Amino acid sequence: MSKSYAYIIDDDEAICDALTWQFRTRGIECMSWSSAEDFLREWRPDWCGCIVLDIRLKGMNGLACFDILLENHCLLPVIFITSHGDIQMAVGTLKKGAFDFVEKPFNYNELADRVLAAFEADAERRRALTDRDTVEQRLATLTGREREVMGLILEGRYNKVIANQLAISMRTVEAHRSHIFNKMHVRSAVELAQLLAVLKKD
Amino acid sequence: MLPASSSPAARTLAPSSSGFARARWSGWRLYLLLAQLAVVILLSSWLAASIATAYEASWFPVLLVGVVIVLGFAIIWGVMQMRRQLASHLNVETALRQAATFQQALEASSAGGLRARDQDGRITYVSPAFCRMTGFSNEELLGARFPDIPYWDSLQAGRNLETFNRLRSNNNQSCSVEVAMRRKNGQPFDALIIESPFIDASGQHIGWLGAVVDITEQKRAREQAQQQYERLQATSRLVTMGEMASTMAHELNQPLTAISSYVAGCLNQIEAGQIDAAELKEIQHKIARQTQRAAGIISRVHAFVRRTEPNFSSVDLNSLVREAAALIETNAQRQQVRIVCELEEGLPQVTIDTQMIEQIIVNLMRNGIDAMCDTPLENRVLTIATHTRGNHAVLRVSDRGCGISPDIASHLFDPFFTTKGKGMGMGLNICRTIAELHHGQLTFESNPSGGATFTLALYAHTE
Repeated sequence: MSKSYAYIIDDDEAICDALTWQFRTRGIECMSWSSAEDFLREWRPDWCGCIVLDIRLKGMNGLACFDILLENHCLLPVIFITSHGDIQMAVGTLKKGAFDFVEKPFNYNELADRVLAAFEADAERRRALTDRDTVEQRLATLTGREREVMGLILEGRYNKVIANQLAISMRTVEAHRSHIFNKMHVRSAVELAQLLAVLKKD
Repeated sequence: MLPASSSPAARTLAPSSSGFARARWSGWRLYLLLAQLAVVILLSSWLAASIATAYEASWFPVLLVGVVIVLGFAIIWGVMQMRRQLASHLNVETALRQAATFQQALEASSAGGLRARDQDGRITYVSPAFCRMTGFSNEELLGARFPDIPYWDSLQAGRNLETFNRLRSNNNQSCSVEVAMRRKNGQPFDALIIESPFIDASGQHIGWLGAVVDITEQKRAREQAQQQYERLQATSRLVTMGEMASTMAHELNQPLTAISSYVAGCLNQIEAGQIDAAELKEIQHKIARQTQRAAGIISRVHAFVRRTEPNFSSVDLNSLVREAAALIETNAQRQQVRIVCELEEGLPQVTIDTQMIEQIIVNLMRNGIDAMCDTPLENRVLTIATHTRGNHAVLRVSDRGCGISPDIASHLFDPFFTTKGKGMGMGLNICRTIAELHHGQLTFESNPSGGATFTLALYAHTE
């Protein structure tokens, strides 16, 4: 498993530098980018750690960057750093699944502490991915119908096709899908496949 | 509206005047005809008599018959002439009656009133529309004389008289004035009067004719539009200020964030006991750079604020007070506040930026007016006084409002501190900044009889 990093994206060079220095004193390795575009170009799905993302950026802003990461099933926890006026936006990101937000200027080691917590959460998630028992426990909570739907999802079928095949409505398929994801603690079909791959290894 | 109404009247009157001419002409003709008829009768009877004597009786009956026939024709002709005469008389009468009804209808349906008065200012004529507008009857108004005009607002009488005198002085010139009037039921209204000299048919100037229009609605609409504009201006200023403050806050946040992170890192190192002096020194330099960056942002804001350099000139404070009072007049009227000026004559000149000091005066007056919103109507008086104190010209603005409680007093000049619902809390803060810029003093005290007095002392020239 690769090493955890804090991926800092802020258009202010001084802030990137200061955070890198501060994080290092807490034993956190850092990488920094001055724009969301540069970060997205280099980002790889197997990266570990957490993303520290400024909401106000030149070019693509932090919110748009977060949306793209979600679309690409990025599983890294994201901590937003915000200015005073952006609290509303920041709360919105929490609803979408951001890990946390911290307001500028930061309180002593506040941000570093949040980054370490995010590292923990990320590691936890990855451990679950490789832990056979956990996966089996989660699978056991699924109902028969849900298993059936999950099989079809893993085959890459669309909701509409599944609904036709099982002679149920689209809405019901959608409900099943969200129950499955919740019970299996995943956010996408890709993650679900990764999770189940653990079982097939042996 | 006078010229407009005169043209149709002229059109109706035109045929009637030519009817008069025809009638006169026919009258002459009638006399002529009667004379001719008499001549014919005399001639024919003389002819018959002479012939009868010349040729004995044998031709006599023939001639007599001839004369009778001639006479008959003459009578028929005369009757026809009489009928023509009568018809033309009737025409003239109809035309006259039409002209009269037209004029009556014109007066009755016009929304604007007419009022005429003689050279002494006695009302000689009022149109029905004018009576409707004021609520007084024709009889109540006719004969009324300056200055006892029933529809004059007693508070405005002085001004109205002034207007009347001005009108008399620029003789034979029409002019329009806006005056405050009062209906019979006491309701005030605003009217526009277009006064023009009243010239009679013989070309003599016998008085003044006023066309009066009720403009209360228009005036209110105009005032509302003005208020709307002022509110808009205030909002846009507020938005600009808010934006500036927000931009500044964001910009300052950046170096502060960097500094706090550097410091936190240093503390972490020190606490962990891993002190690398060279590294710490480098970080301290970085912190210093961020501090300079923050200072740069602040000095940029300062430069922006300083762009409005004061423009000093030597002026009379009293004239400035009068201007400010005129500016605030509408505001005061709306809240039924009476402004009393007690200005000391011969006040020394002050060297000030007129716009800035006027801003202070208007702000203080507006505050005073706003403070009296709960004061009983008869006590709503704002007093503005000027006097000399040593080498200072002093301006005092006193209200009879709710006064200033001690806990408010300590925050009175703080920015963003306000007791008004819609206030920004910048007014007094700006006032004091301006006063300091002029090396003047802005102070306040509570009046013993309630309310507050703000005092602005400005350094004056002493020769």
